[in-house]
Amino acid sequence: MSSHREAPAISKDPVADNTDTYAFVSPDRPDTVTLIANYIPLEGPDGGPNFYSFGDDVLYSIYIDNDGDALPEITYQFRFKTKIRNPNTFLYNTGPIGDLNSPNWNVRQFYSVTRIDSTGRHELDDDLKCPPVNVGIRSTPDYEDLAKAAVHELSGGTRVFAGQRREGFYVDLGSIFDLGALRPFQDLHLIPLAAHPGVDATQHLSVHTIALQIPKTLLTSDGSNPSDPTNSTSVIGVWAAASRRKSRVRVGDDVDEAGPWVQVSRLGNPLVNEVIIPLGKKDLWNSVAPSTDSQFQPYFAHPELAGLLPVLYPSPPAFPNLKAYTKERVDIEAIFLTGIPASILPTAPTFTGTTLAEMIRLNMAVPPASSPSINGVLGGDVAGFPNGRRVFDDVATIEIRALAGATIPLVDGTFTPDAAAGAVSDFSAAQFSSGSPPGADRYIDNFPYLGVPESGFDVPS
Amino acid sequence: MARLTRRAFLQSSVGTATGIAAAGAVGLATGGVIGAVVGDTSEVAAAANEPMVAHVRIGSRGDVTLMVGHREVTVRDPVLVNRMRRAAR
Repeated sequence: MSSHREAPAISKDPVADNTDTYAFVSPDRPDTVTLIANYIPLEGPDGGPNFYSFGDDVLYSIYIDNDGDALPEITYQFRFKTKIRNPNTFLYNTGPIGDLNSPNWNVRQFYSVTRIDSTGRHELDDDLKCPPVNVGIRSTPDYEDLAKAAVHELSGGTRVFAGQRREGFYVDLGSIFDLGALRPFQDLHLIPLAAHPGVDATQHLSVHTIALQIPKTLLTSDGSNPSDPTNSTSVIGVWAAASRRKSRVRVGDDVDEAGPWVQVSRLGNPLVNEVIIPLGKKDLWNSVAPSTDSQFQPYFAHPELAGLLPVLYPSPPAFPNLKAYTKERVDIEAIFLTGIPASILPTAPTFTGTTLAEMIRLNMAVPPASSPSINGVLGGDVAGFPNGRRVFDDVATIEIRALAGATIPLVDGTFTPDAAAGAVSDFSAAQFSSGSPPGADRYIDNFPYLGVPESGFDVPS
Repeated sequence: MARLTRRAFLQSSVGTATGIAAAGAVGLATGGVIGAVVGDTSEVAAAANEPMVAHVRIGSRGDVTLMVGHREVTVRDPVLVNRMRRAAR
């Protein structure tokens, strides 16, 4: 979920599969914005001997629209290259990996970073080191330091990291995809079972992260450092993607590739292609740009899940008001396709104009919250989702509640949300009160903010 | 057509059905078939509207491998390769 294996074609191509995209003002460097694009879904820490890595044959991209036209004024591209020291062993490492130059580390990955903007194409670096994966106590005994050494400084105050991190997205996968059940509320489900706390299915998994920390002045259309949330230059739209070459020919154990890059995956807001776009359009969604998203507008106007909730939770009816609501879901369109206007969210508007385009919209003039809420704007914290997205935001709960009708009154004062719309979640209130999910060790308080991945020796235990 | 070994195929006439079909498909004036794999020639007509991929791995040899349906044919035609290179500029 979020966007893990969300479409038929990309579910068969994990290294190119965007799983989550994040965009937020860096809490410890508030003059910068952190952008994170995660790939490779449901990555088990023990996946050896050929541990997970980025694809050498994939073009990874992060796009930024800074003038509301849904086209990228700024693009960051990443290309990876794997180098094997000794092809005559099956081992990932032949001894402990003490640093990024360790001769014991056999399968290493390097990458280039390119920025494309109105001034041209700029190769920022072409030989940056990824850290190894967290193999285990014998192979990567001081993993935290190894990963820290793989945070690189680029020109102009930009930082970059590419490598394995802890999965930040939490969700009860097994229950949600079992006919839309939410364990804490499953006693009210069409096929009832006793209520039960949610299961954090991604708790111990890893992802492959590409993270950038960029001065705001390198992101705004006029080079300014935004301070006024009502100024349109304060808002950027962000999405990430992966592309493959158009032609691929296998020749024995070798491969020839040629032709232009073809986009095979894209991701702005979480869960959109997952639960809003229908099966027959999911691969199309992944292949096109946000500027063409008006073709998908009907699925936002009448989301399938909003229609299913009253059916799945019928007795006593949990969503009678939602069931009776037949108007277009302008609230959902605002959250995902246009941004939220100042008339609704005066302290953190994300409206970028009438162009329908699904992007994470971040108002960069909104400072980081001193006491953030994982429920973001729904929790009264305008520095969180859907004003950008932080690593710890509970996007599954926020979106379920929005689809259940909690956000309709923002655009339609005649509607009263069902009580359940403000309560539904895949986890119980008691679980959230205890802090798990998401769990304290899942994140760190500095770049790249996603926690240290669990080791293959320890997980599964 | 039965499966052919490369040697047997090279010993046969250049004008085999496979060779003619492959050459005709790309409008070859010259060029001999130097290898082929599996495939019933009756498939060729049926495959006339199927996508075809031309693959030039080492241009200096003048070899073009054509893939259509489940069939693959390699022809040696330096003139064709040069024309393709020019067209791709």
